[in-house]
Amino acid sequence: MLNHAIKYEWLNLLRDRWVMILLILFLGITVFAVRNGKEKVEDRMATITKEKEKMVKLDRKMAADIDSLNKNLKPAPEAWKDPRALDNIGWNAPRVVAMDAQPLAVISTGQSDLFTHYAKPKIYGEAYTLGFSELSNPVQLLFGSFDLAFVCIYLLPLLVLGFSYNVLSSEKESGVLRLTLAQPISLYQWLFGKLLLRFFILTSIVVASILFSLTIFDIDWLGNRGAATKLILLVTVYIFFWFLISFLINLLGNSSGSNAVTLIAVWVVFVLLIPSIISQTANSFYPVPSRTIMIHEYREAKALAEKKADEILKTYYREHPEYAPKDTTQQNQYSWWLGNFAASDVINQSVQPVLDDYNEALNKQQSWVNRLRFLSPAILLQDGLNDLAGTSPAHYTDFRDQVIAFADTWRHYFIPRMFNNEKMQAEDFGSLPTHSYSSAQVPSHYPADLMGLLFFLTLTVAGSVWVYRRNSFENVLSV
Amino acid sequence: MILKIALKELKEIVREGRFRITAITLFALLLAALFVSKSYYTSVNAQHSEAKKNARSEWVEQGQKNPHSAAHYGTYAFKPKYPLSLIDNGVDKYTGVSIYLEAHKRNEAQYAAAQDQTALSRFGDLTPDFVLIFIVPLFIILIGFNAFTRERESGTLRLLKSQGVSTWKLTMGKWLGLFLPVLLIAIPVYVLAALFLANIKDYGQFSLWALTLLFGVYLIYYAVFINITLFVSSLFKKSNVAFVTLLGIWMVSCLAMPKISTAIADKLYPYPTQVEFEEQIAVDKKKGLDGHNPWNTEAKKLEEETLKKYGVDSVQQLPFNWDGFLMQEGEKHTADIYFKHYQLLKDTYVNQTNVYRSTAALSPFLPTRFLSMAICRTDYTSHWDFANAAENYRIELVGKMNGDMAANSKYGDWDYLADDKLWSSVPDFQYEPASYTTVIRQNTSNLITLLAWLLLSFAALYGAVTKMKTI
Amino acid sequence: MLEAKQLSKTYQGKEALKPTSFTVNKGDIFCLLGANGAGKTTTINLFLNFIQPSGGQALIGGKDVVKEPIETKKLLTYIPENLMLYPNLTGLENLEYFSGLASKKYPKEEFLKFLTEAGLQAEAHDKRISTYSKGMRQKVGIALALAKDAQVLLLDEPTSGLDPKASNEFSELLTKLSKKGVATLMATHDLFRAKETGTHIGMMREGSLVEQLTTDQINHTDLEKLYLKHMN
Repeated sequence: MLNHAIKYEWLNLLRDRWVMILLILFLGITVFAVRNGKEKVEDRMATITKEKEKMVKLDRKMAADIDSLNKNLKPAPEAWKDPRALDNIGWNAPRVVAMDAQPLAVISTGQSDLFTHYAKPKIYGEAYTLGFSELSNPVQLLFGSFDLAFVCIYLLPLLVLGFSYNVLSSEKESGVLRLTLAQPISLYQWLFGKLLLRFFILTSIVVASILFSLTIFDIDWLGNRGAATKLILLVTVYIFFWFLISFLINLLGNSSGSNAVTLIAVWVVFVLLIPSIISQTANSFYPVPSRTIMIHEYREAKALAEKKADEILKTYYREHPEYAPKDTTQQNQYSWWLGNFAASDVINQSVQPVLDDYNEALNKQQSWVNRLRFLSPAILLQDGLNDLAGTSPAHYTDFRDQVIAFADTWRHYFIPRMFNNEKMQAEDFGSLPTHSYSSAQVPSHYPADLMGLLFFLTLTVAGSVWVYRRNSFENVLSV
Repeated sequence: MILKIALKELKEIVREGRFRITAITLFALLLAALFVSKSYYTSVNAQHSEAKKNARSEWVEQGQKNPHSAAHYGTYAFKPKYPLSLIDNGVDKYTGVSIYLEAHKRNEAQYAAAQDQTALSRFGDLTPDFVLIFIVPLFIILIGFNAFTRERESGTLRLLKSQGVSTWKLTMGKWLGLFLPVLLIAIPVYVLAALFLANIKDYGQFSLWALTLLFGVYLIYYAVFINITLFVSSLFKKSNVAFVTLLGIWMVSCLAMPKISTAIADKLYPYPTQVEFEEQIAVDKKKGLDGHNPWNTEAKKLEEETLKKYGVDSVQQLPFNWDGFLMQEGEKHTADIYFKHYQLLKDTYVNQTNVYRSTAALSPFLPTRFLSMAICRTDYTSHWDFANAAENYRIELVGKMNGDMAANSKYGDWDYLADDKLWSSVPDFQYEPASYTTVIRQNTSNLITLLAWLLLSFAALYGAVTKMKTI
Repeated sequence: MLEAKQLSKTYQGKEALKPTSFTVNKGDIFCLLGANGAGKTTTINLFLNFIQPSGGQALIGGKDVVKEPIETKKLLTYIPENLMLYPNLTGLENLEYFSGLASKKYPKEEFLKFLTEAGLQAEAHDKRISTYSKGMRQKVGIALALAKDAQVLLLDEPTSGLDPKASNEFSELLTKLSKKGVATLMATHDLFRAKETGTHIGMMREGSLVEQLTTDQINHTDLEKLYLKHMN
């Protein structure tokens, strides 16, 4: 029976011009969205590659220079240009710490338009003061990108609603419903069957459009089947949620017009209002203290430390006897740096509470938002997609932590050598610390997001059952 | 006559449950947005004034230093927040709030709020502009989509026509019937906003005129949406179709067009990445004069010229400190380089803005968005204006430091120290925003586009209703 | 085949149908006459289980329509005043679809035979319903009754709005079906058709069945007199 109903529903849909137009439009939109995403990711990767190439080239040149200087083939350059000086390497030949794009980065721009995707921490300077902001037109940030996430979060529900808002009411209004209900069938099975078919058609087309777009833009989703499956699953559940909402509203037996208005109201609440309200409450309840105040305190601490640089260095030697000069007859060529290292430790220690306060406030806001995201399927989908694309705030926080950690590694490669008054050798380039990006440390939100969406599904199913129990043909047919 | 129709429309609309629910929700949202924005504004302003005070005291109390070191130490310029940002926060969330001013380097504004916020903030915040620009048009569509289709479906349109009512009068009645509820919501919000703003202490004088202009822009925007709503309603036979069509129009103009324009602007006139931009500057800097490197070819050239000019044979004999002079010349050179590259960047930005201005012909949302931000002084142009002012201040500050060094110390004397007399002789950074005349001049195109939308949508409505069929 | 036992329906305190009993046997055509709002459509809706009875029972083939909605609907075909079908499907496809909902499957030729039997001209079979006239749609309804092998026909003013020729054709089809043993319950305003086609007549007024008679008991003139008497 269900098969039969589905076959004719299919025929019906096939002959509806609008449905076809809508679906072709969706394919076009998806291709456009993925193209936009692809362009951003390509730019990002091209910059990283270029930086890395430059670094390798510089390394080679410096190694060659060191060789020829050691062999006295070249006159010694000024001290501040000498590649044998460790400080010049640590300062002028920093490593590129890059955040490589995840395979599915194209699906969601997320926070990627706000930040640069690499940093070059040097031996001196606090990593958290490194600029991560990308140069961009803020109007573009305000308007956001037309990416697949936008298509799925905002447009897909509207497509679902357009596809289903009058599935029952139109038959009632045209009068076919009376004949249908005179047949030996169950109204709910029949309605559910119709919606199920539409769900399958729409989902297949959405999935096909997404995979098609990914394929034509050379995104290796076959090689990342896990992530691709997760993406499809998330989007499918989201589509199903909106179909169920539509089923529920249809069951109430109102007119098409009233269904459309109700469903749009639901959309506005879930997609526009709840996210903006939560976002605003996060800013009001857990305001992030001003960075400018933090910077002020940092500068005060720094100024104080610089005034006492000599004293600090002495204390530093007391605390790190291993760094104390062994051969006191010889002047350490890095003495200026040594003072700075010592001072920067002091600065870091004294600004730590400021930083901690700051991060704590930030974490509070984040965890408030993380909890409240379960109030709207749209937020859950956004979160899940960002998670899959590797463009969530958590990914960027993690990357900054990686940069800070690497800055430390980098500095600690040089500090002992500089205290020993060593020089850089050509073969040392191979042993310089390197960084390779991994997002493994980022706690995945995906399972929770999916569960949240499934929870919304359950809610709508429960709502439908409730409506079904209270409802009768009389309501549906309004006879 | 028109008024009678309008009153009947109003009665019909008000008696419908959906109007009451949505109107109350809308009003509540606007109030909430206004209150929340006000508290946000107050706290940000408090932080801002504290930061500003701190920056000044840091500068003045930096102790004895070589003036050039002081220039390296630098100070901060803070972007003021304007009262109207309470209504429309514009791009403020995405532009930095402070610029670090130091020798040799023009810095970008840093610490944009969005960078510290969660991804959720990308959905938008519940600020008055969010409600005014996204939600109110939806409200108009909701109460107006069946203005004509309803009468057609129930057959009352025939009845009206048979009474000899002119369709244009009928339309004007319906128009007013939609505009009045919008006014009913907008006016209390306007009054409330004016009261809020008038009570905010200091930080930019609040101008009632600007607020009125802002609301005028929004009312034009709403009039456009009312025209479109009635136009579509008069075209279709069925309310459903009219509703879905209007929703499509709303979605395209308010959600899709801004993003599509962004994609186009980005494709046609891409912004350089931070790296590319810095690299280009570095390349130019390398070619030119380096104030800290007297062996630099350009520096050597300058030295020869200067010696010749003063008729002496060594820099020691110059009547000023050559180091200070050289550094100031280097500073001028780098300032020129920055000027050049920022000018190029600005060209890109202007080109992008022009893209938005042309796509505004496809979406009434765009000109309204830009006008609203401009009037609230939260648009990108305001930010540029501020950044340029900060740069001029930086050049002046560094120039004063180098000049003091050149005048008051001898060549090679790096031990020369200046004190807070010099520091406090540098005036505090004061920024006067562009006048409203300038703002309006910069946005003439947006204003014209919006007015064109108004006129053309009126014309379309007129054309449609005069040709309208009764069945 | 079709039986109302003290069947009644009350809407918000208003009695749309007062307790009413009648029986329609196999081969009978029972015509319900009465003014608008007399309760004719309510009676038919009750047999269709579209509304819940406030009292009594409606039985089809001895089964209660409330308790066994699916079973009883297998037996019946319903043709409302204006039979609406899917406009984008052809007559044949609509027939196939609705028979399918009743789990009746035939080869295509059979369906075509039903349509022809119902009087639908062959060239219309594969045209979309949107091109059909009302009479043609009603014929698809009859074809559905044939395809479902319906034992009961519920008709709600099926001939109103049809031109006399179409109306006549429809009546002939009803007679044909009744000869096959189909029990028909038809609400109508057409006294002439009721007399010509019907075997039984019931007159309703303000929710009550005020008169039941067989058509062979009465001639046209007397029927009209009787009707007007009850209506005044």
